[in-house]
Amino acid sequence: MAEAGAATSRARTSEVRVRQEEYAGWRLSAPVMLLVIVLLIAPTIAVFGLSLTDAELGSSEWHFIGVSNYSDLAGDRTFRISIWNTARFVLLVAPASVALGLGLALLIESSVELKGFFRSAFFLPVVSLTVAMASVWQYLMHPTIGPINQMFRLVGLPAINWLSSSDWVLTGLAVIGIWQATGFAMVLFLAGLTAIDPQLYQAAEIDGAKSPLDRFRLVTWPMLGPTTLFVTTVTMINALKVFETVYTLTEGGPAKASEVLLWTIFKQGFTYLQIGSASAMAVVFIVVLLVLVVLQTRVLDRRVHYS
Amino acid sequence: MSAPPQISFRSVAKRYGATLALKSVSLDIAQGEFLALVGPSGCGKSTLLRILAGLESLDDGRISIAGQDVTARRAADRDVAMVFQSYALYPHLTARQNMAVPLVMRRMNAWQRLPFVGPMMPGRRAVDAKIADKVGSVADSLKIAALLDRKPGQMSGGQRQRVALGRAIVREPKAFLMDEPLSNLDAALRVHTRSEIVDLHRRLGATTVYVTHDQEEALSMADRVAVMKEGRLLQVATPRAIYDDPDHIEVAEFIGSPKINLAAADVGSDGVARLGPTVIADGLGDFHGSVLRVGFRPEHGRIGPQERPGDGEVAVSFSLTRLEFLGAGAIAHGTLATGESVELRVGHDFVPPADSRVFQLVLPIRQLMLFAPSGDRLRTGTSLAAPHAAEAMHG
Ligand SMILES: Nc1ncnc2c1ncn2[C@@H]1O[C@H](COP(=O)(O)OP(=O)(O)OP(=O)(O)O)[C@@H](O)[C@H]1O
Ligand SMILES: [Mg+2]
Repeated sequence: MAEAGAATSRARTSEVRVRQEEYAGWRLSAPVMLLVIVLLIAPTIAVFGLSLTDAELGSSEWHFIGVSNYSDLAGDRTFRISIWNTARFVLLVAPASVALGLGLALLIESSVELKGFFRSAFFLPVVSLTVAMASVWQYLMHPTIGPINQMFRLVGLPAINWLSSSDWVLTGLAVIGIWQATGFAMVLFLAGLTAIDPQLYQAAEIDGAKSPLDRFRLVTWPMLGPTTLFVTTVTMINALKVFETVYTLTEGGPAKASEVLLWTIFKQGFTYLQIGSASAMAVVFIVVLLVLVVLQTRVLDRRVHYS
Repeated sequence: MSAPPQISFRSVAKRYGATLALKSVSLDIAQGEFLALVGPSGCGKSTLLRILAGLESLDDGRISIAGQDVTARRAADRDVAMVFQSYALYPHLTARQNMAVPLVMRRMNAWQRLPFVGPMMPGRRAVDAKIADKVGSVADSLKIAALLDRKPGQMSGGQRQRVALGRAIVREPKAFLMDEPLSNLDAALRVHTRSEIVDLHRRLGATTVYVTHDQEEALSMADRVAVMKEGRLLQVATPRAIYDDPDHIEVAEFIGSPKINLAAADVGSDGVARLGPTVIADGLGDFHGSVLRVGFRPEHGRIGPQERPGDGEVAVSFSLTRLEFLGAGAIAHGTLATGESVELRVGHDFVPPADSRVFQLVLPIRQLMLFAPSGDRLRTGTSLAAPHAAEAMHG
């Protein structure tokens, strides 16, 4: 009898404890959850809501118009150009900066002396203010006095109107984008490299992998799999978000040649004050980002983790 | 010892900053020999092995393998195989691919190894078939054929260990180097794998250097045991000689479980060493006034209330403090009249009488080992170890 009583009371206390822990868990995560809701989820829902209206900045009257903002987007030439340019920009910037970042990381990792210097030198673009750096690039890429074109002339190449010819402007912006993203990629790759078990390299050496290329293929590349995937995803997302350089250097021109998604959304919302259709563009943008993230976490992740 | 050694270290020294990891190590290992390198943690076993493999540079000395000086040769060109403590398998490759790596690297040229186009290169198909054959037969002999398509992450520690062994074996290298390959396995599997490695060595007859900090592993597996301490080789001998006839007190203490018992013995002005009142050695005039140490193994004494020393035996009084029953036998913990605590192996039937905890411990004098204050074994001027030393020489 007494024993049964003790058992139930023990069960009750443990139940109480579980409930208390649950309560504590909610309490501890509440501030973060609140921030996430206020700063991320609520604005996203609001944007989605606005995209279904004909809201205009400054006008107090707006109506629910269903998906007609989205169907308008399908026929919007500027938006199509914008998507096409953004895609080209991402495809220029992401592979190049991932490859350069990996190459630099390997180079730095192999030379002990210069490690410290290079680490900060190539990380500089990541921490420096893009808008400030953009004006430096404007000078570097200047058609007549810019050092890049002067060097081109020195070796007999024609000068290029990096930022003001519609043929080259996206490439010019991509160069700046690569310069920004490479340091970031490099730092992540450096971290990935230090996490590789040195015994694997020793095993590879003993197994007869003599050339650096053999060791790279047998150990480095496969072991960097998760890092490479992460770097690629983040670099692509960052490239998708290109805006500051366009805003300060080209304003989408000339002739929409550097019209990119965020710039188009910005103009639609804040120049033409069309909040409704700008929101629809933003939703498309968010969907593209989500697809990339899901692709990384769900599909590719399984291929690069080996346990 | 007339055949040239398969592996030879000549005055090998290695320094890490201020620490001398190896201090002039010289050692010859015969073709087909199984040598265990044993010693306390940090004594330099791994360093010596890694220097032999070519994974670590040396500061002084020379190394040769199969009669060739390999001191300046990189690891990949020394043709040795290594089994790492943590196995160091390639996690993205299956067991089959892991085992094939050393053959792919050595038997295929750079073109044949290229991704995508490699399989189309001339001769690749023939090499592939040979490698698959070899991997298959090694896997059969290690009983891991069923695991070949798993990746290391999907295998148990013991299975990974076998794959690592397989990767070493496929290549038929000049020597196998193993750095504590069993230390990540549980006790039962360790004992089992131990005998498998010995069998394997017998079958392949390959020279093996086996690093362990487990003296039992060293004694049970090796043809010869090298005991290291602080970067130096203390003794290299057969397991039997290491156990029965150690050269140094550190060797005697490191090898054997329970540990060897040590008691103090004074040397009188007559050059005679005594354990209590009993003379155990003479002719030690050089050590007059110093205290020597007498060692005896736990299994070498008899205790009992009625024990009396016979011819060539010495008796000391021993008071029992605790009897530790182990099943097949027991270990009697106690102290000698001279104060040292000792452990003795006693039989299963030993039951101490209820009224008395003090016994006579009778030790055969020829099984006592005498050590100088420096720790060196004293064999001169005694009648103690002479017969043993002689046996070891002929053995
Ligand atoms: N890379 C290194 N840098 C500096 N010191 C080292 C390095 N490797 C080993 N040492 C030192 O050299 C000595 C011998 O090390 P080693 O790894 O050979 O010991 P060990 O006998 O294998 O020990 P364990 O049984 O713990 O593996 C130790 O004092 C260790 O601290
Ligand atoms: Mg070690």
